[in-house]
Amino acid sequence: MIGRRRIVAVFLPHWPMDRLFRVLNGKGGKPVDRRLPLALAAPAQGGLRITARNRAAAEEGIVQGQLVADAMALCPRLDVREADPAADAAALKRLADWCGRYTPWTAPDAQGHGEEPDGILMDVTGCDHLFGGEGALLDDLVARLRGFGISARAVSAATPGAAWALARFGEAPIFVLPAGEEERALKNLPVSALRLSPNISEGLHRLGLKRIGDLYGRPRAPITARFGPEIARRLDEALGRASEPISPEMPLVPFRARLLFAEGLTRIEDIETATERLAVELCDLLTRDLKGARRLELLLFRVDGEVTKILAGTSAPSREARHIARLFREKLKQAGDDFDAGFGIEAMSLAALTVDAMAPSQGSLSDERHSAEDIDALIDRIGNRLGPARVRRLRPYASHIPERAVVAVPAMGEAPPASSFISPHDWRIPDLQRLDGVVGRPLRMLACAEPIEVTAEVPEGPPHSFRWRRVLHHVVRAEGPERIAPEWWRRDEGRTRDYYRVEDKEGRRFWLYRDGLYTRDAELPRWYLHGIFG
Amino acid sequence: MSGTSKAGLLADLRARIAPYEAPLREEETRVVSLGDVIDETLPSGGLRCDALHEVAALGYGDIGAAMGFMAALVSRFTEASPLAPVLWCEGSHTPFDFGGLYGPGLAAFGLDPTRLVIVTPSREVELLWTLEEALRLGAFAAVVGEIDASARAFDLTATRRLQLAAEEGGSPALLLTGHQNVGTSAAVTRWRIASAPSSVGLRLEGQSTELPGRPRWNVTLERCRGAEGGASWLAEWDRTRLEIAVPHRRVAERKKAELKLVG
Repeated sequence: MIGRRRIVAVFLPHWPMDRLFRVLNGKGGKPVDRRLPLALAAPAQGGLRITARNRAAAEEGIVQGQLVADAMALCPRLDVREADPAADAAALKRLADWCGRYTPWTAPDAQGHGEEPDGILMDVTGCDHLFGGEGALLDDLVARLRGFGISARAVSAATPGAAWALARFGEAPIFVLPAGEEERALKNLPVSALRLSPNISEGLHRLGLKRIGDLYGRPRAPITARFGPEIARRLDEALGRASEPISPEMPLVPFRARLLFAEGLTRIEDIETATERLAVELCDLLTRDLKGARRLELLLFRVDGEVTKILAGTSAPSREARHIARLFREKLKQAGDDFDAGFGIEAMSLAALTVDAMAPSQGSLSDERHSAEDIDALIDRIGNRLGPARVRRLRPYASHIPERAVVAVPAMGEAPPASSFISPHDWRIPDLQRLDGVVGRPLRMLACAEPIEVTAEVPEGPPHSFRWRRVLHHVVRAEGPERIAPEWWRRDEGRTRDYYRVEDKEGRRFWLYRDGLYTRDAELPRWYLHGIFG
Repeated sequence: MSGTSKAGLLADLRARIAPYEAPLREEETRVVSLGDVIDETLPSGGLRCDALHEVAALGYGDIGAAMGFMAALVSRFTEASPLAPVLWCEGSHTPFDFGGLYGPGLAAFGLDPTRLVIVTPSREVELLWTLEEALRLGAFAAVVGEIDASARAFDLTATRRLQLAAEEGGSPALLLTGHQNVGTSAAVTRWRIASAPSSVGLRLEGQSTELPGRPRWNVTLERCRGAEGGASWLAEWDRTRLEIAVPHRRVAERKKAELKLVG
């Protein structure tokens, strides 16, 4: 089982430096000459200390851990910049995403050579043949990274431990270690290649155990007694005697389809066509397992090492390739001119992140069911193009406060729990409506009731006239009051409202309310307009 | 030529342009009834289900009445296809800035609010796209869009696309436009709506003011393909029968109603 796994460890020896140059020589800015001495520094014991430097600085005698003051004395033209470990880590994560072009399983290697992560781990089991074998894959990877200006070493082995050690301490920058040869290959490497904490490897050094080979065949009990179980565990992991759990960057998705292109795609039409092909492939996988996709992710791997991620959702499980491709077409179309393919897209992957069970034969159902599916598909497309919050359905809610009597829920995905819902036929239309013709609730309701100026007021009755949005309305007919008391069990509730349906001289009908009562409340009641009738 | 009457000339011209107008295909189109009185004026004997219809307000203040008439039309269309949902694209800017559609109010027009899919696009282009896609699907009882006629994206081409999409999918496209809708359009009908004071002066005992009556509008069929435009009615919404009614004011009726209520 372990023997069949193939892990690639990528080591980026000058990652913070390479990243800085990538940023500096990226867009807009003045290019910086790599040949000038440059160093990164961060606060440490005793002041600012050098954390990384380029080759020119190293030739001037600058070393890691040096105080900046000393370094400046050594080389006055040294350009010192602030180290940014957080940005380094974030950029490394993006680079790990980009490595997803080789395998879905990639992760920034959390254990750096120093304190910060400085590498990437990839599980290429069963992927290497797509690139012409492991050696070709590693060559391609390192060449591409060099093209980005990132120096890298890459080693593949059967265990993460062996790959990690050889990438950092091995001789060849690109190396494929066949399974079963770990013991021989690691023999001459220093013990720190076992990913031990610094004080443990120091302790081993003091005992004269400097190379990994020195540990082979040694009784374990004394070592464990002295240093804890870490050494034995790391050794077993590196040699493939114990399996090592690894947390992948991308969730392991069984439903993923990928495509590589000989030349970078730049036209959006080509990308759409490729998406359709991916969708067909993905739907085959889904059909095989009787699943339907709920959440989908399309990754576009750009030639320049960036990854564009596009997400789409469906309101009901789907494995119809046309529908899935259309969802992404809307998204791409929406990006329109903003869409940046960089120098081209060289690989794409489409994955179903969330899936639901889906019965196999839905084609044979009646037309009605079919059109319901079509409507779901349309809602998905609208939601994916305009945003899920812009497509909603209305649901009644058990409350007599008008603005709370109805909730708008996103039409995509599931409705919120139905605990406090009442039957859909109960829309809380008051009894007053039994009077012939009178429509008890407005067609449209303002999100926030707007204050109105009541010019001729009768106490405890409807106004004679009111001014709303600068227009004066003379009330000719009125019905009310319909008293709506606040919900006492809610703390933030306002005052009692008296609602009136009024009609002005021109026949326009409005829904007004008086906030508060004359007799009870000390403050004078105010009037609001809450909705308009059809 | 001098001998021909004006009417004869017009008839001649009409006959000449008739082939260029889209065929009406009366025998196969589904229609909904807007009541006998209005149906008589419509060439298809009702409101066509596979066409674009525009509802415009007379003035800014009449948008409420136009919304009411629109709700009445949608209600009629949902009755014709009782299971299909309705897609309603809400406008949020002037002249539609009266808040969102309110479920209980729609229910009063006989529209089940749960059947509604409400879309709120941020731009007119998105709105027109949504309408077109929904129409082509042909699975909705009605597809409603609220669009300000003064918007740049709203032109003859846009209406023509909607009309074609409505024909293709066989579902009605209903546009609620502001009062500024005066331009050319490919719509089959355009209705101009103004608010009208309600008729029946019901009065509860001990109250000085009358109660508002049924929703009532001044409805003008401003243009209608294949027929003379300009007919006008005073129409009401009868919410017990869920119909558009064109009442004749009769004093006797009014008195009877008053008696019944007080008694």
